Amino acid sequence: MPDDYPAYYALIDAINALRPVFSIHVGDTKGGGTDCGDAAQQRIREDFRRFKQPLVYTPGDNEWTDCWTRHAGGYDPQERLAAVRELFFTGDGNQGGGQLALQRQEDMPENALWWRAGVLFASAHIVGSNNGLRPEAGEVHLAAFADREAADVAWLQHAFAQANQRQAAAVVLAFHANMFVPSPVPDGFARLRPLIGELAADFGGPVLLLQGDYHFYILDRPYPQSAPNVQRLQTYGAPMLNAVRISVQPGAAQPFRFAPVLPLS
Amino acid sequence: MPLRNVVLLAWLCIALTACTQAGIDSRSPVDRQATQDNQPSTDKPAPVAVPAQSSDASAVPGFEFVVLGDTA
Repeated sequence: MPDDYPAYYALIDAINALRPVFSIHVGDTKGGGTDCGDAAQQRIREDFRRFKQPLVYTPGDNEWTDCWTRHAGGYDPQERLAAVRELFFTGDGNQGGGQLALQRQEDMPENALWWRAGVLFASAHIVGSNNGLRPEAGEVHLAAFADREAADVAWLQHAFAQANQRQAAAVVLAFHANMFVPSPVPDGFARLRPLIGELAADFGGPVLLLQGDYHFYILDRPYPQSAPNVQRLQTYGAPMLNAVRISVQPGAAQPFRFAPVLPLS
Repeated sequence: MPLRNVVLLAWLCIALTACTQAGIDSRSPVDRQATQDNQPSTDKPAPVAVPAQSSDASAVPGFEFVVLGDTA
């Protein structure tokens, strides 16, 4: 839940004024130290309705993975994930105003895929906090992690297969986690990090990864040797409540341009 | 009029005409440029670049979207 509602609402106003074709929220809609209960999630859902254009949302770790902590309410993360799915992803998955035609993964409906002007967009449920991998949480937790990881692998393969088949001008992949930092052992991104690089290298065209997690702006190329066609943007985060406007020119060698979006004062 | 005066008048007329045609201007170069800058141009309008009609079916209009996250 945003600690600073006026700034968050002012940011949404700024986004609405730009009239983007859609927006993507890459997760962590609430702070890690706030309660994960239904009331908080309902408030977030209501705030999403302030977006006048379509909004695609992919969850972060604060919404469910980290809800086991005492200050987040001591919830069962799997139970919270089910609640998030029930609230946000039982319908067509559109959160803001307007409608996007979203293709959704059957087993993991928060994973979405859509097209715009020959560019393939996909969201993948990959979250911070080591992608939620906590061996100490027990067998049930580990089995759930393995299921989600397998679903993500299948979804990423499906997305890039679509991009190859339809000769996409570019691919944009959105998820929450900053997986390009040293991870604990076992590494929750050990399978997904190289897979994204391999699929992107095979695709060969421009690929943009969008993520959050670390709350400050980064624009770089995370696979400089194996997949130099991949750019990674880490967007701003609280307390710096900014967003990033991305201009896309399909077919251009460098199709993406970036500019900050500041809250309307 | 004596011939000498006629010749003198003729010489004066020739000299005056020459000076007028030469457009002697006692203003400073800066003032002259300022005057020229304020005059409507009589030049022909510069040609306007018109995009060529593209036959490339892959020329697709651009668009903009927004990404945000970690809003708490």
